[in-house]
Amino acid sequence: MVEDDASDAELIKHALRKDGLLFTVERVETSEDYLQALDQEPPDVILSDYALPTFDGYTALTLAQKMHPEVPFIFVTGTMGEEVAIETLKNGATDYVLKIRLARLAPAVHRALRETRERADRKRAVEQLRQSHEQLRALSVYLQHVREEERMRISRAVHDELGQALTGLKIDLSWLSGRLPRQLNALITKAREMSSHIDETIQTVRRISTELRPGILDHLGLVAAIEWQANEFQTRTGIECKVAHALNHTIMDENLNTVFFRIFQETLTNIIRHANASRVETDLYEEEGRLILEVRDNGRGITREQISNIKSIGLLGMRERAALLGGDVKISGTPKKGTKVTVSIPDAATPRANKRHHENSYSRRSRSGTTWFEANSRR
Amino acid sequence: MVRHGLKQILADEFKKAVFGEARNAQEALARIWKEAWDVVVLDITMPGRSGLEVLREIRKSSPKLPVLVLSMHPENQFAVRVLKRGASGYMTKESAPEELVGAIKKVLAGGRYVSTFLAEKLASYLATDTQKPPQELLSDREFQVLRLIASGKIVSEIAKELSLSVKTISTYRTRILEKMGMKNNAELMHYAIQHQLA
Repeated sequence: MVEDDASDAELIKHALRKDGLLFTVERVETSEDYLQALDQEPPDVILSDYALPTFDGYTALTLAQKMHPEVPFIFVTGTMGEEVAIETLKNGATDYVLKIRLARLAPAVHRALRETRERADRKRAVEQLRQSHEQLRALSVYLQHVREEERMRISRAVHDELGQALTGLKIDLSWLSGRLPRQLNALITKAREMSSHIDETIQTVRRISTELRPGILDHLGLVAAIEWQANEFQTRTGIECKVAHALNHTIMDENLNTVFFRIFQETLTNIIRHANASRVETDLYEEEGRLILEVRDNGRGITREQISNIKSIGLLGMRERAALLGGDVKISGTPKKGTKVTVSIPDAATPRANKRHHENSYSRRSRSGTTWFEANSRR
Repeated sequence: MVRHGLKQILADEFKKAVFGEARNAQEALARIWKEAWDVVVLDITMPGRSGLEVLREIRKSSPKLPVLVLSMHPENQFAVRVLKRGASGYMTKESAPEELVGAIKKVLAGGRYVSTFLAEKLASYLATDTQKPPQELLSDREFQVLRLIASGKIVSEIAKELSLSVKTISTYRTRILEKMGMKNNAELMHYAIQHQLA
């Protein structure tokens, strides 16, 4: 309470007590005492006179706003013009009560306390919401990472183990059929049929494995994988798809490869679905320590609404993938001219960039696991 | 299982041949460095280091030793690139085992082996490409750089104009020269003027 008149202070306390409020009061008169009081435990509510001999209510309000903006501040004053009152309210005062109407004080204090409580609750709720967003994002990043690892593992297992087993069968069958007596025609025909069944199965294994994660990405690097994907896309859709790159080394970093390749695939899918384009141009180059992938099409051009549409999970996924490695995705469209997607990810910032990936899969797994956590905490 | 089967097939054909086996990159390189072999049949996917790394090491230590890559990986993704890296042949595992014998004979004789399918594809690719004017092989960005070079601009000016780094532009220039089969800017300029590109 900032009040120079002791009897006024008593009247104020009486008014509050009469209403059943339980409280303790610290009364101050000077700015030094006031500051000292604020410096200690902040009060639940500040009641302040407006005109004081050595101090003034307006300064008290300003100081309180600076030090404890969440504490309600009520002027309890003998006189206060309407204009002054409005001015103080604008500057953060919670309420004002005239000393001739002290009956209003207790309700005003009640209301101020309630509002403060509600504000704190709201703030807590917002904070909780933010945290849960954060957790969801971390979870989605984690799931994406796990999914990619899983795909890679299954792709390799299918490719290497099933592939190897089938190859073995095929070779043995070939050896066997070479030794069948000429006159056993039915057996020779049967062996030939079996051999072509094995071929079909090998092709199925290969297709499944490639769809999960193309081996070209891990064995021959990013440029090779992108060129191959572009070629596939062109063959499948008839949309011309050109790739140019200005890189002098093979990009072999597993995480970098995954992010660029998956974003490229997503971009091509979007082009098929929405762009109505007849030509796609892809550029891959390095610029100031960043690896940049630029995909341009000559389609109808993405609109601003489409870019910011929260329902476009695909675009969101692209951004999240890039953010994982500290990069970003820029998307822009010009009506009837086409869409441009630019992915930019720091290359130098990933010391793994030059590391070989051909080590045993356990060390690889744990390393990329660490990377993910680092990338995540960098946000 | 595969190695054993392969050996059996090959032993039928090459009666006097000596076979050596290796289960991984390390073993393969150790034997290749120590012993003298006529030909290497190499898989790409192996436990540990990849066959492509073995290929690179072989090219360094024994540039003349023919290497036939026999892999599960699809031909259209791998064959050309593996050949570019110095393999003498590329064969997928579903090719007929009898074809392997032919392929080995071919690379032993110093030749190169690709499947008939791939050979045909390469031939038709070359045919379509030679019909087109060389500048059509370029991407938009490369074409843009070509025109700027042809207009007499130096690399740093082009870099500034396209807001890319000098290094990036130089690399584009190298790729353009490669794709157009040219040696220097003068040839590029000459070409551009002739074809009214500048």
